[in-house]
Amino acid sequence: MKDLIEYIAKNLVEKPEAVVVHEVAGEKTTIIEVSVDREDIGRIIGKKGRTARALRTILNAAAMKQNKRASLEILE
Amino acid sequence: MRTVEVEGNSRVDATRRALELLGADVDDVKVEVLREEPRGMFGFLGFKRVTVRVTIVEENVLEDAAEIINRIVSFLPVPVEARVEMHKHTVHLELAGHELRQFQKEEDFADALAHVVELVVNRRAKNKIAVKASFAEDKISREEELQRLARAAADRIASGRAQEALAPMTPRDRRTVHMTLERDGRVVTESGGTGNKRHVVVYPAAARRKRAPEAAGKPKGERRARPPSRPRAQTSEPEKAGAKRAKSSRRRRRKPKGDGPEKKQPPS
Repeated sequence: MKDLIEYIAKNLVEKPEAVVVHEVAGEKTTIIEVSVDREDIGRIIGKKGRTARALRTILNAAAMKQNKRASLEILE
Repeated sequence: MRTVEVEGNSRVDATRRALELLGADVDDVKVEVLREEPRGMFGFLGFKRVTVRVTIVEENVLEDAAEIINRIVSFLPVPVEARVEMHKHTVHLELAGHELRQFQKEEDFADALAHVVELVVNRRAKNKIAVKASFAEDKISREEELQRLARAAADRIASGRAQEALAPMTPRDRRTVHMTLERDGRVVTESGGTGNKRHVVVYPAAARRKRAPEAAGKPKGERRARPPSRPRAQTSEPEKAGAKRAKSSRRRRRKPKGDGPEKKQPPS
């Protein structure tokens, strides 16, 4: 899951080297934390959060692999 | 890949001719200068001769899109196959693999995928390309799957289960289930739950006949929770005196209360 978000995030931003993704595993829920360059935050969130929502949708589909829930947090 | 090599008397001239040949827009092509010969004698007589190779670049976009999708899809728990096509300035992703439906709405996923692919593709390309994604033959196979699901539930009821609640569905899907089992004499179906929790419940046909007159005498609260099935669930069964009475008594009751909430969700 981490790899998935990392792959997409790196392809969305201007500075892929600044993309850092952490996976915080929990019993049922896994939290994926993404931080990107300040300039790139908008690219990850998108207009009206559309891109962030798309990422969450894709993440949720992928999370089912482990029978888990995953949530995505974008760190500032 | 479509490519032409064209000669002209300047780079611009050659490119323009090439675009005419291809019927393409300058934004959609890659231009390479193959040969540039200076003017004839003395450097100013006659024309320069420039040969350019013009290639339509949509292939690159397609490859990009395909690569991104395949990477994303490879992370998914269920197989999803993607076919990428391009018409004009739109990339169409046709997805196949309906197991995904267990987890979430396919349309949501397709939209999310399209959005992400569009962003990534356009970040590299200069001109805007729209990306659309959809699951292939969605409606047909969705219906088939619902029918399969409904029949499986009916079989379980027939082999002794008291009732079975299916997962919440859209009105359209519930309708498909009701209609699939309408002619199945062994079971009756009705919808229970409210709002987006509304779902189909399958009962044995025998239980239904007993329940109907009973329900007519029950207080309001009880009825709300489990509205009576439509008359058509009953019509497929042979008419008996008892069943007839039950039906007419239910019909009387329906008018004041049952109608309101039921109108809103026709396929219940």
